[in-house]
Amino acid sequence: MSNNDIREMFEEANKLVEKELETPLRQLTRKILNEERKYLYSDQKPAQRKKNIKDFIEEARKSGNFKSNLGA
Amino acid sequence: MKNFRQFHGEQSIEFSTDAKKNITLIHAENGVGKTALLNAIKWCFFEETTLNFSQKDNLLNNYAHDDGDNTYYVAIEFEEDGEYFYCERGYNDISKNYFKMTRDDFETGVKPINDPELFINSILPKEMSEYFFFQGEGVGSFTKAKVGHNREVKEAIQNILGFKTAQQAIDDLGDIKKDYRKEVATRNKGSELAKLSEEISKLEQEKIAKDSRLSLCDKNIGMYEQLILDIDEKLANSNSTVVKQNHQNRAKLDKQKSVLTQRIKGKEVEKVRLIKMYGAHVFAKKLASQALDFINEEEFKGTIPAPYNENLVRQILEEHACICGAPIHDNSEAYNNISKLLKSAADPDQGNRVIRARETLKSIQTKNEGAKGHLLANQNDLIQLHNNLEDTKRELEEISLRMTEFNIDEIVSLENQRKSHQQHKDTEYRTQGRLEVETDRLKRFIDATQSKINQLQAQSTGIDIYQESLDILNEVESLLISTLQKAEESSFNELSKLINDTLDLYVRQDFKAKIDKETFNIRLIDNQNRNVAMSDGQQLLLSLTFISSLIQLAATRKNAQGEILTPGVIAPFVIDAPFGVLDNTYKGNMAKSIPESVEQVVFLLSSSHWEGTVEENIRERVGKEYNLVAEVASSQGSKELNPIFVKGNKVDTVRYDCGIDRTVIEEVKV
Repeated sequence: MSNNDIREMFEEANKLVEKELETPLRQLTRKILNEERKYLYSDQKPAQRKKNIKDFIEEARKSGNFKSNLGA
Repeated sequence: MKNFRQFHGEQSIEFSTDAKKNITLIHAENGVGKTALLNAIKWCFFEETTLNFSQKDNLLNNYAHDDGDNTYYVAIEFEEDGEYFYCERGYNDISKNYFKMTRDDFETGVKPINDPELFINSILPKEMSEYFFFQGEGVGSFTKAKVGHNREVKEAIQNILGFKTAQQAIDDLGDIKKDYRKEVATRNKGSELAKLSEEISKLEQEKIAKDSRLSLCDKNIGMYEQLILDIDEKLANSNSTVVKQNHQNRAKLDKQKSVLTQRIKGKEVEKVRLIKMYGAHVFAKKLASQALDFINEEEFKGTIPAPYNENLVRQILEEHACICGAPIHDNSEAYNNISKLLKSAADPDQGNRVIRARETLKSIQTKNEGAKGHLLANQNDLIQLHNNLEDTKRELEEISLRMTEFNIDEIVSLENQRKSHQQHKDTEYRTQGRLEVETDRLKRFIDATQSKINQLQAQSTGIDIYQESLDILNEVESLLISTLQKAEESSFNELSKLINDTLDLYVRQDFKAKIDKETFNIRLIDNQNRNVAMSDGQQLLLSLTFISSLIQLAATRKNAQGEILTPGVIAPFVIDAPFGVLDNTYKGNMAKSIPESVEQVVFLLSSSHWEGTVEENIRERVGKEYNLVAEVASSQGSKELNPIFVKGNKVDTVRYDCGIDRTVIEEVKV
């Protein structure tokens, strides 16, 4: 097995790990945290922030994927 | 910077970026501008200042202000991950307050950055910056034992670990959770529905039982009727003419009784109909009469509707012409008088409403006129019919009595049987009537309960959606909380190690630092694991070590992956008056230790911090050195100059007979 093959194998494995980490829960958490950053460090209003977070949760609920993929 | 507090005009400092000589040393005596300089940096990045910076809203230099120059700013150029940035915060008469940032890209040139506040925080989060741009006075408070939690230490650790955003998210999710729970509680009618379902079941069972008894009544009535018919047939075929005659009379009276009963029922129905028809009108009679009197009276007085129409008045005013053709000019007496009419002019819609109200009231009165006659006639008819029915029943009783007086045993027996059946049949009829009322009542209850159930079920719609959202929210919250807990736990060991590595080198005794995981208090313990009562100097030393360890921890977390915790940062440690109560040895040790543990240091030192052992311990690492000189407009008089000595050379701290009072930044080249 050449060095290139080994590198390729590891790259593939890495992609798989990343894919598994990218659960709907993590996607939603990331979206919520980005919204919080905007509020903490920019000029977003508190009410708008909470409304947006509710929208994200609603989106996640409607997607249907979330239900079957709960858990980090 | 320009015109920032005591720094009049444009002045600049170039900080050392040499990794081996990573100290920028700034000498300044009290009141000359150490704290102002530290705050210039902090303000430029975050529009914030330290707690000991007085008059924080008055940043413009007084002389500039007196000269009519309102412009002041602080600008910082810095490098981050190989990219060059420029940020500037300030005020001028055109832009007013502003903050701008640019990125200097070798390929595309200088480009402005959108949302610079957000961007600067992505490089150095505001909450972490507190430990990089540091006011040294009072730093010892970190290690003072606190009753309960040591909030300062807890916050410092959490801020450096990048908790801020996740904590904000947890707070918000808590609020949203409350909203969702409220919705669920409002919609959750489960217990109420269960109670009503139980109630409706009971009512239905009761109705079934009564329906069953009603059927039995029907059956019994049929049976008794049949028995009576059988007896009647026998009596009809009797050999006795008198019996036959009596029987024929009874058949006639029975028929008559049936007709009367039907007519009474009809009149009862008519009574209900009449009450429905006239009830509301009878009830409203007095009110309608008073209302009609009021309208008629007001109409007579001419107040409703007003004698002139609002539209007509407006039209006259707009067209500036009377209906007679005479012109009406603006502000003329006629114009003003007509304008006054608008206050009481009738709105045509209002007029129509008054007309409709009057018609309704009149119709109530008209209907009332027929009510009494119809209701009385119905009542009289009912009385008459009941009297006739009673007469018929009495005649039937008499026939029955006569039949039992015959001396024919068989006839007497038949008649007695018939009487008994008739009594049973009447009893069943009465039971039937009572049951019909009861089942009717039960039916109404059942319908009402069912309607309530339907209403509650409609209100319960959406409960599943909120419950599902709540579950999702709980998952996010758990992920955030568990991540923060794990990060906090692992940081204790890391921080303890960093602190103790420094203490091993620089503290005289064999002491170790320990961070209490519950209270966040930092204590010194001896080699027997006993608490050490710390002196002020030891507290300060431990606090400084804690801060520099936090900065090291932030550096190790710079490339931390993961979306929940904000990554760490490598930034200069700018510290004002750090050494306070330290003795000469500890002062030297700390001065030596800090530059070894952080990448870039800016020391702002007065002679009390500087003199002694500091110079010999850091000299080799000083890359840039500046002196803040107080320029004073007035003469020296009897004041002393108090120069400081840097590498044996005398350096000014104050100059007199200058044009204005200000601080100037001068590079020290020795």
